[in-house]
Amino acid sequence: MIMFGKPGSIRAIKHSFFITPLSTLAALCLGYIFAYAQNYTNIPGKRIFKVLALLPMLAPPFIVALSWILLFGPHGLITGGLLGVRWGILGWKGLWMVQSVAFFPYAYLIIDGVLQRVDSNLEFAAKNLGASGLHTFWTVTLPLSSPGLVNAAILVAIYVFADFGNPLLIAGGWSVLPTAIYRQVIGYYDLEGAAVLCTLLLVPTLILFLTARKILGGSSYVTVTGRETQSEKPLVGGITKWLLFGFCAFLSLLIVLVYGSLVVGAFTQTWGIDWSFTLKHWSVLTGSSGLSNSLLLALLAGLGASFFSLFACYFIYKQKFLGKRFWDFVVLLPAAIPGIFVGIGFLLAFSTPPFALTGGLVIIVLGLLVWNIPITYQTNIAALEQIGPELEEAALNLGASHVRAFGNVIVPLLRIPFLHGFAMGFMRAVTNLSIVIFLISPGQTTATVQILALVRYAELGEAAALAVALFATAILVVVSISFFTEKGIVAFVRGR
Amino acid sequence: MNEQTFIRIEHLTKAFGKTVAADDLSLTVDKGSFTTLLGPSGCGKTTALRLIAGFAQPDKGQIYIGEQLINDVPPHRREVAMVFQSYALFPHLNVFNNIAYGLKLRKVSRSKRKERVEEVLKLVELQGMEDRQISQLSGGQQQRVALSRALAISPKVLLMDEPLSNLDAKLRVSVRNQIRAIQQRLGITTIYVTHDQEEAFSLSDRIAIMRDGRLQQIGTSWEIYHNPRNQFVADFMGMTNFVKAKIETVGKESVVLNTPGGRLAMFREKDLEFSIGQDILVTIRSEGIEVNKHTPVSRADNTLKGEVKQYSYTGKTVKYWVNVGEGMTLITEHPDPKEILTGKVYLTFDKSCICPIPIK
Repeated sequence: MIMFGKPGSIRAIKHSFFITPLSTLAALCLGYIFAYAQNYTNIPGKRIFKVLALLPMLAPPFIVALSWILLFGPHGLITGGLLGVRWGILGWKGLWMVQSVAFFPYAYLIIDGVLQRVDSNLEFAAKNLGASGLHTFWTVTLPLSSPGLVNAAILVAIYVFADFGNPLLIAGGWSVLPTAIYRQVIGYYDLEGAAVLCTLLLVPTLILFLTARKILGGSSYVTVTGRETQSEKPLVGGITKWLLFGFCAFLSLLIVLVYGSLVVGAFTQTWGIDWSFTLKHWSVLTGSSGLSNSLLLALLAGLGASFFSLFACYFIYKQKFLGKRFWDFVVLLPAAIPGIFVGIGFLLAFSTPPFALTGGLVIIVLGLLVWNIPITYQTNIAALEQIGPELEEAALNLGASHVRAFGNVIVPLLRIPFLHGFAMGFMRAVTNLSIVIFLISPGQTTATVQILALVRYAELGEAAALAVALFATAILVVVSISFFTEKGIVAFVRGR
Repeated sequence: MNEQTFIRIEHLTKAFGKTVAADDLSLTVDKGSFTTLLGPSGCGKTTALRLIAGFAQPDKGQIYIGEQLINDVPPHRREVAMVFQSYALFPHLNVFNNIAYGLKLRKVSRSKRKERVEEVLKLVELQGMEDRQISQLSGGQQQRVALSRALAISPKVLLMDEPLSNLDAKLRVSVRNQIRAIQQRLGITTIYVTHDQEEAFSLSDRIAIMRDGRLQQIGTSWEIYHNPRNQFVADFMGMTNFVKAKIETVGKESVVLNTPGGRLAMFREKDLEFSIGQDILVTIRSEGIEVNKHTPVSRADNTLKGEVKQYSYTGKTVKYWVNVGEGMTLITEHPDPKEILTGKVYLTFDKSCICPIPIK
C-alpha cells in the first residue's frame, strides 16, 4: 500500500478518470455523426469516407499519436510550419484529440450497425404524423439507437481507459494509469506495485465489460411489430446534408493527414526542417529484426488463438445447458482485461521457476495468444450458432462419427469465420504495444517497441518508416485474406 | 372528374433502377370514398401509396389533394396519415404517447390531447389501454392502435398499406369490418392497398387493379367482377374458365359463339364491337355452369356435352373439371351435392355468366 502514498499514482488515477469520459464522449459524437451521415444522406464519397473511417483500426492506436507529433508537435507541420507557433498541442488536450480520432472508428462501427437496424418505417411514421427531420431524429432515431450507443460508449471507454501508447507518446508528464504502471515496472522495477495499479485498472474495465454484457442481453429496441422492414431510410436534405458532408470530409481529411504525414515523414530528411526526399530512414528495416519478429509472433499468436478457439468453441457449444454460460464467460473474460494487465500478469506469473519463460519469444506468443482468444472465439461461436446443431446431427445420422462430422461438416462451414478471426487476431497482435513491451527481453524487439524507442530518441523519420512498413504489411495481410473470403475489405473488417 | 374528386393522380411514374414501379398511373378518388389499390405483390400499389405520402419522389407526374399540387410538399406537411403494414408503432413509447405523437407536434394542449386519445381509442374499442407498452399488445390490438394514431390527427386522407396481412384469418374479417364502419362514420377519404380480392371487395367503393405499375381496370367491385377488361383482371378475380371462340352470329341481344365444345350464346355487350368471324376470348364464370347427368329440358340451347376429368369433394361443394372439347376444360362447382357425377355429363350455361374479354 506504499503505492497510494506516492502522489504520482493518485494523480495518474485522477487523470485517467478525467480523460476517459472526455475522449469517449468525443469519439462517440464523431462516430455517431459519421454513421448518421452514412445512413441518412446520399452525400457523395460515402464509400471513401467509410474506408477512411476504418483506417485507424488497422494501425497500432499510438500511430495517431506519432502523426500528431508530426503535425501538431513543436516542429509540427501545422503548428510550426503553417501557423508559425513554437508550442505544440501536447499534454492532455493533445491526448484528448488523439484518442478521439484513434477510437472513433469503434464507435462508428457499432453505431452504424445499430442505425441500420432501426426500423425506418418508424421514422417514416413520425414524418407522416408531422415530425420534421430534426424532430424525428430526437424523438425516434436517437431513443431507438440508445442501447447501441451505450454499448459503443462502453467499448470505447474500455479502450481509452486502457490506452497505453498514446499517453506515453503525447501526454509525457501528464500520466494516466497505464503509463504510471509502465513507469513502475520499467522505471522503478517495482513489479508488485505495478500489479496493484494494474488491479485498479482492471476493476473499472471489468465493471464496464459486465455492464455491457448485461445490456446486450436486455432491452434492444428491435422492431416489436410485424414483418420485414423497408431497407431505405428517410433521407436528410438541404443544408443539413451538406453540413454532414463537410463534417465527414473534414474528419476524413484529418485521417488522411494523419496517415499521410507518416508516409511523408518516412521519406523526408528531417521533418520540419529539411524537406528533401530521402530513402535513408528505410535502413531501419534491415537494421534490426523488429518487423520480422512482429510478423512471426503475430502469425503464431493468431494461428494459436484461432485453433484454440475453434476447439473451445465446439466443446463449449456442445455443453448446451450445464456449464455453457460459465465457460462462455471464462473464454470471453480476457476481452475485459486490458493488454497491459495481460502483459504484467504474464510477467509476474512466468518470471520465476518452475514456469520461467521470460527471456524468450514463447512468452510473448502466449501472451498475445491468450489476449486474442476472445476475438477469435466470438467469431467462431457466432458462426456455430448460425449453423445450428442440425447439420452435425444429419451427418451423424448418415453414419459419420463425431470427429468426422466435425471435420467434414463443421470445419468447412467455419472456414470464413476462422479466417476472419485469424486476420483480426493477427492485426491486433502485430500492432500491439501494451503486452509486448513488458514481455520482451534485451536483444529482442518488435516493430511497435522499436517505433516507441525511435520516437523517444527523436528519430521521427525512422519511426515513421517503420510505422508505414508495419501498417502496409497489416493491410496486405488483411486484404489477401479478404480475397479468400470473397467479400469486400470493408465488410471483412466489419465482421460480416 | 366531378365536384366530388378529392385526390387526382396524373401520369405518375417511378422507377427504381431498372424496375418500373409506377408506370403512367392516373386515377381519381372521390371525397369520403374508400378506394382500394388491388394487385399481386410487386405490382406497384405500395409504391403508389408511398408516393402519395411523400416518402419518395415521382420521376414524372402530379399528385393533387384538394386542388393543391402536393409534389413539392414535404412528407411531414401533407396531412395524409398512413397505417403501415408493420404498424410502425414506436416501441419506446406507450399507447398513449404513440397516439398523442402527432397531436403534440400540432401543439394541442395537454387536456385536449388526453380527450382526443380517449376518443380515438374508444372508436377502435381499446379504451383503457393508454398505459400499455406496445410489446404487451396482441397483433390485432397493435393494428388498432396504429389506426387510432393515424386518425387522431384528423388527416385529410387515410392511407392503409396492407394493414391486415399480419393478422390471422378470423381476426382479419372482424377488424376489416371495424375499419369499414369507422371509415364510413368519419367520412374520411381512404386509399387502401391489398392483394386480397375478397378484402378489397368487402371494403371498397371503388377498386383499382394494378399490374407491373400500370392500372388495369378501375370500377366498383360489381363492374370489375362482371366485366373484367382483360385476362389478368379476370384471372385475379378468381375466374378460371377462359375460352377462345369465334363469333358465328351477331344478333340484337345476343351473340353466338363457336367454341371447341360447341355453340354458346352470350349477351351482347353494348360498348363492344362484334363482327362475324372475329376471334374472341371469353371467360365463363363457374357459378353460371350447371352440371347434370342428362340434358335439362329447358335451357337446351346453351348446353354442351362433356366428360368429368377430375373432381374434388370438400364437403360443402364438389368441384368438377369437365372437358367439353378440344383443349377446353371448364371448372364448375356444385354446392351441397346429392351425389358425385362421373363420366359423361351435360353442362348448361347461364348466358349472363359468359363474359367477353377485349383482347388488347
